[in-house]
Amino acid sequence: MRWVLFLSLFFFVGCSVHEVKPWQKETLAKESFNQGACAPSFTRFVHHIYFSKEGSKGGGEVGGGGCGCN
Amino acid sequence: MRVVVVWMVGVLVLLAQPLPPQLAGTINKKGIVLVDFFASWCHSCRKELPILLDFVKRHPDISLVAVDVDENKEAGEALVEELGLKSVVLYDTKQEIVKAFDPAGIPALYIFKDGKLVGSIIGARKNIQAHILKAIQ
Repeated sequence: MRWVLFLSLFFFVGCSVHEVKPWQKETLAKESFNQGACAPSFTRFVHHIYFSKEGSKGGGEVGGGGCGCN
Repeated sequence: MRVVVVWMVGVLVLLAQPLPPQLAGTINKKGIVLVDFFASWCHSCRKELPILLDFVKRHPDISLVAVDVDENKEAGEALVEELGLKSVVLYDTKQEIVKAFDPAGIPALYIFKDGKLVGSIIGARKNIQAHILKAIQ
């Protein structure tokens, strides 16, 4: 029984969510974290297909590099 | 209405907490003090800081404390050098000061009048000078 409790404790600790604060988003703000940053020409092509099919564009990236800026 | 209540509760919670010792001396003095949290990787901060510096130059009664929240001090120092902020900057490499303020985003500007928090501006604003003047009136 003790072991079950001990192991379940580890399981529930793994479920905890650690919020990333705005001042901790240095890595997320890097250019490489933008969607499709590794292949910009291909991304442009994909965006063009999306625009042609959906009649809308944009909304696929985070403004301000994810730092929480407006 | 709810937003105002939540904001006021937030301000009260902030005021109830002891200020970090690095800042306490500056904030508790008479007059208006602006505390701005920035980082070298934050594009909005790079745009906002020169505007704040210009604002402070035109209003000698207002002082500015810029808190760099970069973990990498060298990156922060490079930006400080670039913008000419040396006289007003405070390095928070351990991110303890910013943790005490807990802003929802950066840049984050806190306005203190005679040691009391009178307003805060979270995120970049188009006309930040007008927002500051409104808060200190």
